[in-house]
Amino acid sequence: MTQESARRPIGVTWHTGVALIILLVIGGCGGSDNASGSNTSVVPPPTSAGLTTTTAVGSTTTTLDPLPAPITGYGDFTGVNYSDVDPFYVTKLTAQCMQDHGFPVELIPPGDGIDFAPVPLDQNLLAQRYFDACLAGLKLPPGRNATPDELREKYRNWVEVVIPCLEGLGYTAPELPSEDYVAENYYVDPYDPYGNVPASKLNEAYAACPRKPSPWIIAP
Amino acid sequence: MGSSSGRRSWVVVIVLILVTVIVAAPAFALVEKSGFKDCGANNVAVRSLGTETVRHYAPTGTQIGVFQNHDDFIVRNTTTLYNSTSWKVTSTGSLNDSGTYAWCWGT
Repeated sequence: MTQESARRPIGVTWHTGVALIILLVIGGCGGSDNASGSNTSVVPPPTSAGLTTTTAVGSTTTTLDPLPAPITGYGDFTGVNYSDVDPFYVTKLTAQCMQDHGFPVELIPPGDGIDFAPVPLDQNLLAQRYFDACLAGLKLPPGRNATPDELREKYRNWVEVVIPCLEGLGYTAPELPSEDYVAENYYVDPYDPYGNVPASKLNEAYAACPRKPSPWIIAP
Repeated sequence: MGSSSGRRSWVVVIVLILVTVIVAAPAFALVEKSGFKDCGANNVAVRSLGTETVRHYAPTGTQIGVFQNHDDFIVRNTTTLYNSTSWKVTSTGSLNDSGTYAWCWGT
């Protein structure tokens, strides 16, 4: 046995140990969120939705369908800063992708939501997976919270644009905390300038007084 | 000697992978809130206050709406035609607990 081959069993053990550590770290990562409550949790993202059952002689095997590969051709956000991503445009592209693949989804006014109700119930799970594939094909930057500077910019937009606009529609915005408070606490104590708008009028208010200007906003 | 150097390189690579996984993991976290709502003669609606990609499900497993909230906390409502149903909301960002619930609508 050479010196090199004599080391091999140790190397295998070492690599196996490291692999186990990596698996433990990945398995243990979950973190916590500001949301609390007995029915609120942080869970790993779903990796599969559909089940395919095949029956062979004397046995039944259940396998998961592979996720559809990312569907490209509807836009590419590679290299775009997250703060520059227009959620209305992303929604429009995603909905178009799904419609082209046979799912009759509809945009929810003002255009940053997709309604799955028109999809036949027995295709809903498949539609969800195509949604994921369509979204993945856009190669969006990972989501993140706004920075304190971006929150200050958001705050000024509420004060100068959104709240006066809502007042023009006859709504009074909830009492606005200080800019410093919002910059430091928005993700643990969110302020919602549309908080006094009735649920049935929210989409109209979102369209008339958008949180951020977008050419893709549609009227309710 | 060369093997020792190679092993050190592996250590560096693996430590970098570990750091990347630890730092990146929260970005892939999926926040969820679910429950069951009985509205009697009325129908169930689902309301959320969340960020990033928010999905509404009712009954559980059937997606009824998905919203791109970006980095804003935005209220979303979806209505169902069920009098009583389980419901679920997920977010790739954050969900505000008190702002996310099922409620009754209709006549």
